[in-house]
Order: sequence, then C-alpha cells, then structure tokens
Amino acid sequence: MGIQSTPPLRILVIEDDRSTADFIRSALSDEGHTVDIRSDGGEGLKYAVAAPYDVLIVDRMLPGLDGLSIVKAMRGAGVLAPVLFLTALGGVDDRVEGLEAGADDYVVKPFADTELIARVNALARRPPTRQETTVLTIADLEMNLITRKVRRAEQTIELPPREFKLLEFLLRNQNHVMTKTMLLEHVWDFHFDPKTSVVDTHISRLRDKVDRPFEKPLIQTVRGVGYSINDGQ
Amino acid sequence: MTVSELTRRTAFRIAAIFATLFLLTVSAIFAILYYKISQDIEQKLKADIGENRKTLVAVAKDSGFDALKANIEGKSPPTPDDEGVYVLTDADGHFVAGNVLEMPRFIGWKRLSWDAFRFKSAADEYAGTDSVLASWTAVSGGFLLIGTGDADIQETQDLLLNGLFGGLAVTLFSALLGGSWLGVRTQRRIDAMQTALAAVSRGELATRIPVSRTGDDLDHVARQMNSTLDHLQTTVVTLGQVSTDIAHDLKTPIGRISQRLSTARRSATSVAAYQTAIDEIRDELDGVVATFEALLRIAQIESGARRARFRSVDLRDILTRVIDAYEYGAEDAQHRITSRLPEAKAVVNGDPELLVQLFANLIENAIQHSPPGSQIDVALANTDGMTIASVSDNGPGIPVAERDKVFRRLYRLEKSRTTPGNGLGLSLVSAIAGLHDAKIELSDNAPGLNVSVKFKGADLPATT
Repeated sequence: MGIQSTPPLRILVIEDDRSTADFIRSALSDEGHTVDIRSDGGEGLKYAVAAPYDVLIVDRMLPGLDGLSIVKAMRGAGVLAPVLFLTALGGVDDRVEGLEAGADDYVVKPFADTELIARVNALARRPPTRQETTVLTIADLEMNLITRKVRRAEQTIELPPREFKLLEFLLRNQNHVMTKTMLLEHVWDFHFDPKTSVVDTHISRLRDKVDRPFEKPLIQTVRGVGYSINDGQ
Repeated sequence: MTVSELTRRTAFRIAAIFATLFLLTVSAIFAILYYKISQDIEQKLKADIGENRKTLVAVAKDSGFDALKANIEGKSPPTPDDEGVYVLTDADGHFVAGNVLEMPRFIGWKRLSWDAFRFKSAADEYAGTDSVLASWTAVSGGFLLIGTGDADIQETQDLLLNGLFGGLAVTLFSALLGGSWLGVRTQRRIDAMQTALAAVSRGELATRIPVSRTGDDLDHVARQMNSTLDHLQTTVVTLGQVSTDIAHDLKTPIGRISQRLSTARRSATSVAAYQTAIDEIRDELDGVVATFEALLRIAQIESGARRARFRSVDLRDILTRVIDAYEYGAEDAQHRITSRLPEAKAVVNGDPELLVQLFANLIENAIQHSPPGSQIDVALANTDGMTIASVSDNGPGIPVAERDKVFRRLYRLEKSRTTPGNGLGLSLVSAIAGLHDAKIELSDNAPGLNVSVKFKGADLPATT
C-alpha cells in the first residue's frame, strides 16, 4: 500500500495471542517483510537479543516475561532496533509505561492493518541516530526549520504554527503514509479519537496554501488510511 | 448466651462500667466523710477531757493533793464507763484514787483497749465501747489519768458504715439499672443497624437505618451509613441500567452485521461485491469497538488510577490547544469560536491529556449540535479560589428535565439520535471532571447550552 515501498524488513513479533499474531504476520508479509513470531516472553527476548531484526513488535501482556520487561532487558543488552509496543484496549497507562521502558511507538489493540503497516514503516526508516536537519525539502517545496520560512517555487508561503508543524511532520516522513492517528498524536498531542475531523480540516487549509496555487499537488490522500507528502516519482 | 458473649455485648459493658464508676465515686465520698467526722468527734472528746483536766489540776494546785483525791473519789463512778476513767497516783506512781487500779504510763493521747486496765472491782467488766481515749497529766503531788470511752466515735463510725453499705447498695442498683437501660437502648440501635445492613446485603437496596431525633454519635454514624447506602443504591441501579443499555446499543450494529453477512452470502457474486460487504461490516465493527473503547476508558478514568500522573496544568494552554484544533472544523460548519482567557495563569492539578479530551468533547458537541452560523464561546475565569472553564453555544440546548440524564452512559437525546455519536461523550466528560474533583453545570445560554466545569484552584499562586 505504501506510496514508495519500504525495503523488505526482518520483523520479530512477540505476541501470545495466536489470532493477533497471524493478523500481524499476514499484514506485514503482504508488504514483503519477513516475520518471526514468538509467543513466550522469555523466548522472545532471546530472539530479540540474538538476531538482528529491523523492527520488533512487543505485546504488553505475555506469558513468561511481560512486554515492559522485555523492552527494558533488550535495551539493557544494547539492542537498538525500534520497538512497536502493543497495548490493550483502554489501558491508557500502558502507552506511557511502554515509552518509558524504551519502546519507540505504540498501537492500541484492536488496530487496523493499515495503521500497523504505516507505523512499522515509519519506525524502520527512522535513522538510528537522529541527524539534525535544518532544511526539509521535497520537489520545489522547502521548509527552513531555523527561520520558520516555507517557500515553494520561489514564493514565500505563510503558515500558522499548527499547519507548519503538520507540514514539518509530513516532510520528515515524506513518501510514507501517516495515518490520522499518527498525525493526531504527533502534531496535536491528542491521544484519543475525535468525533470530528481535526486532521482533515487542517490538511485542507494546508493544501490551500501549499498545493492549490501550484501546478503539481504534493499532499496525497490515502483513502481510509491517512496522508502522505511525496514528489510523485 | 455464654459469659464471653455477655461481656462482649455493649449493653452489659456499659452497665458494668457505670456501676463500677458509681461504686468507686460513692466509696471515695464515704471514705472522706468517715475520716473527717471521726477526726472531728475525737477533737471534741479531747477538748472535753482537756476542760475536765484543767479544773482538776486547778483543784490540786489551789486546795492540795488530798482535795483532788476527794474530788476524784466523789467524781469517778465505781465502774468506769463512758462518763469517765480516772486514775490518781502519788509521785511514785502508787494508786491513790480512781476507778481503775493500774494504768501504764504514756505520754500524750492514746486510745487504749479496755483490756489494758485492771478494774478496781474485779467483777466489773465494761464492754460498752472497745476502747478509751486517755492521757496522763502531772498534778502537784502525783499524776492523773483522765480518759473517756470513745462510744461517740464508735457509734458515728458504725452509723457511717451502715450508711455507706446502704448507699452502696442503692448506688449499685441504680447504676446497674441505668447502665442496662442505656446499654440496651444502644444495643437496640446497633442491632437496628445490623438488621438494616443485612437487609441491604440481601438485596433490599432501599432499606435504611432508622435515625433517632437525639442527633448523637450513633445518629451521625447512621446518617453517614444511609448516605453511603444511597450512593451504593444509585451505583447499583446505574450499573444494571448501563449493562442493559450496552446490550441494547450493541445489539443493533451486531444485528446489522449479521444481516449484511447473510446478504453477501446469498447475493454477492463478484470479488468486488464481497469487498464492499467486508468494508461495510468492518466499519460497523469499528463502531462497536469504539463504543467498547470509550466504555473501558470511562471505567479506567473512574478507577482513579490516573491521579498518580497528575501535575500542575495551566488551563489556558489546554483551551488554546483545543480551540486551535477545532477552529477550522467550526469554520467549516459555519460556526465561530470566540475565546475569553484570563491574563493570569489558571493552574489546576490534573492530567493534561484527559483535560484536552474533556474540552475537545465539549467543543465537538457544540459544533455538532448547533445550527450553522452559531457562535461557540469558550471562557475561563478565576473566581473565589475556583477556576471555571465554560463552553457555550447557540444550539438547541438541553431541556432541564434531561440535564441530569445526559451524563449517563449511552444516553442520547431523542433529537440527536440521528447525528453520529455513541452517547458516551458527556459520560466521559463527567468521568474526567470527577477525576479532577471538578463540578459540571449545565445551564441555559438562552438560546443554547452553557457547560461550566468548576475546578478547585490548585495550591499555587494564581498570578503570572
């Protein structure tokens, strides 16, 4: 589904629920990734430390060793691979605890396959050490993070702070689909599902300024999933 | 009833404690009286003897030893009794006159048993009193002992002791009676409490503990228990109703899913047709999951666990973020959001994530339920140590009769049945407010609805 497909990844899933594990395997295999599944916590940790995986998906509740302990132990053993934490429905504290333990992102069960794929892809392309960029560009669009100026085709574009942040997040993850939930979390710090379309209304205003006056639209809608910014190549 | 059971009963214990206390008090009073009165009588006896002695010493001095001897012989009764004991000896201590032959010498006052005396006439034994109060004194030519039977002291003491035992008996009786009465009364009230609580645990939720008019400690406890029972009853009734509502609300979408599956099974012929059916079913299921998620989130919030993550939050920041997120949404629905935020910080102790959700829900409600062209006003004010945040609109409002019900889980106003929503938005708002000890008030914005959330101010200076 990716606009630009991610190179095949090696993914370890530590999840004891058979049906969820199968669901994850099916979704990620279709994307061309290799998926290993471990249902026991202790065994999962052994795999995570022994083999080089690109992304790890760890459930919160596991037999043997729970998800939080696995992530902590793994980080203690020097494993740097990004971890996606799976948390239970309504377990709001799981998210904070997971991130504190060293996970990089989380997704609440039950989740859509599109949400999972988008998050795994975003994690995989995250560089191990974050370089500080000062200018983000795509096609003829340029965003200067120091001067807070946005220019496209030599024209300066004025953006209110929230739209600037939205565009910045899309540019940092360019060519990847960002789900609405991901945008709500990162741009607005909203950790709930609003009934009305917060994301859509802002994307529409952003398009009015960044895309509409120009020939080629950069912001793409991925129906039922979210948005991405790409140069269409 | 066994002994240990008896002593455990409050009634018995109160009676016993009362009786003991009364007895101790009465005994103490009697002991003091006994001592004081005995002392007083003894002083009087000594004074009488002193007078007598003064006269006799004067007789010896003025008229000589023999005159004294004659006086004593005339004065002392043949047998000693309470009227007096007299012994006159010469300077060598030999008996000269008196009604007692021999008497040991001693200095000062002494109480002597009759056994210490040897009577002049051996046949006489005096047993009117137990002892004699006496003292020796020197007279010209000899020594004189004057004594008196202490019958007065004895009688008074006997009287006092009789009084004491009588008094103690009466006291014991009345203490036991009064204590039992009080105890039984208390016991009855405690029994009434037990009966009421037992009835409640049997499921008779409406049972309450009777409250007397005295307004004492037990009434206080009874009232407290009754209010707890009121709360319990409401909770139990609400819970029952919520489960019914959940069953009812979920039956509808699940029924639709079932129908859609049957239709697809029967009439879909192409992959595209199946995919359409699957998409529709998935959307329907997403709705079901969202309802569950909201219910679980409310339950999680109501459990209070998140209080552990509370910190100081400036409500101005929260409202600014929420307004910023919904400004465009409001604009698209042709509403206008205005805001009145104070210059000073409005700090409360809370969970920023949940507070954002609270106000997001209120603003979303205003956007969804107001006709195009409405104005949505968000205000924040610090007054009287309270921080009041309010969201008001010009929409249809909520009828007074429905204002309490809208916070109920899955409750939806008749007219909003057609708009999207699961009837959990305001329950969530109410749960979040409750977690923050904040009060929610719904009022008429004439026209429209005004929702005020009243926070108790945090213990921080409310200045910038």
